[in-house]
Amino acid sequence: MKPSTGRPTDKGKNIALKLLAPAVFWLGLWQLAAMAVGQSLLLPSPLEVGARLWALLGTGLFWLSALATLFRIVAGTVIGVAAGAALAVLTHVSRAADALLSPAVRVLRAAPVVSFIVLIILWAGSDTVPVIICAMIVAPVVWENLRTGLASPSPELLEMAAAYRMGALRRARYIYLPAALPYLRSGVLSSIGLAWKSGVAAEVLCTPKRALGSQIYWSKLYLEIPSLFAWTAVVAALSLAVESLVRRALEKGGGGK
Amino acid sequence: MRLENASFSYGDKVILDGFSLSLPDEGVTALSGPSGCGKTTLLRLLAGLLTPESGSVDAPGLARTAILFQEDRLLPAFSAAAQLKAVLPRGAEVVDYLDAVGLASEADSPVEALSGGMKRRVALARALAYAGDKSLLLLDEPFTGVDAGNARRIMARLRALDIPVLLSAHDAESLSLADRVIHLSGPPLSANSDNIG
Repeated sequence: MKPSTGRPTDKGKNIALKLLAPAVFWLGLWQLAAMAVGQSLLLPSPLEVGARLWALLGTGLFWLSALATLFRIVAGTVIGVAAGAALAVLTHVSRAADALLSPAVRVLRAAPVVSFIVLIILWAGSDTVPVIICAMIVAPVVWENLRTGLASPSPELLEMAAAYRMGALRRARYIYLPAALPYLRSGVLSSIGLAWKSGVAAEVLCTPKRALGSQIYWSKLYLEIPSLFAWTAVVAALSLAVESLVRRALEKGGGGK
Repeated sequence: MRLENASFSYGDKVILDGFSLSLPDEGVTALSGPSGCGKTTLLRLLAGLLTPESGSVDAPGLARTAILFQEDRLLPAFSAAAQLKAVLPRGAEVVDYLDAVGLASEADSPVEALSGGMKRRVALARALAYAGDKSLLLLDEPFTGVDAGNARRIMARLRALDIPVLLSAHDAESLSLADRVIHLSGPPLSANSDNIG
């Protein structure tokens, strides 16, 4: 019997099908809808948007805007993760801090982001507002997840730690950190998409000089709808790319002990 | 080690009612009795994890108490050696204790990769290591899932220690390995009068 040599090819075909088939389906549906509407001002076709995106890629404005937005969102996310983690530890170890801070963080999470954007525009420069908004959106998500993780070690394990007189640092290293890390990962990953959405929304409202959000705002103002779609596609692609990179980094960092 | 007129209950269920017991300060003493009679509660009182509602627990001359719980209570995702390092002073040698339970070769294995009996032996090694030479060592059903050969080997190690060891057991094999046996019944807990010190 001939040995099978088709496996890698089959795998390649499967991946291509898995990635390409949905893309072809949705782009086809979009094209059909654009043809049915028949007005580029209302719904441009994917080809028009692709052409505009291709044109934008060759401009300095595109790269400067994309890099500036990327920097703001990453900075806001890092600050938000650090603040959320610090708050989670604080509210876990101190009942007073929990009573004082937890309701405030919950209100922050529930309040509409646009209210904060409008308010913070009054206090901070247009380059800083998206960073602050990102941090404000990310921190409660990380706080909630990490808080659940810190509360997850079983009472039996904590009793063992007490019986063996494990100190605070050892409890942190051997019990709390391993229990909390999966929750922290999940919190960070689910906050990345929110960070991009809120950060770009802040850019749309405060229009910094170089920003993807500002470009979306100008495109809408001048009814450059294909550009609006193209800039939006760039935001979505960057958000997915950052999420994918962070996911890989976190998976790599979650090795053995 | 002495328990004097100790009373303890879980809600309305009285487990100990003015119970007294004194233990020899060396050798291996086994507690035998049916499930639910109060053996684990007694061990937890002696370990200081529970406080008697009345009466006292006195352990003169003992620096601390080491307890092996009925469940293994190992640290998930850490190696066998790390289980011991987590409760010992920094830099303490752990291989000797793992060797005592026949698991020196598994020092670096994550506990999830070990069988139920091996996990039990890691938990035993941790209790042994923590006990050192100035502790009361309390073992709650230590040989559950451990084969007879390893149980005998571990018991020989326990006997070689110059500290009092108190273990609870159901099976005749474990009881036969002890220096003396205290028969318990309850609740409320009562001990065979011949064995009460």
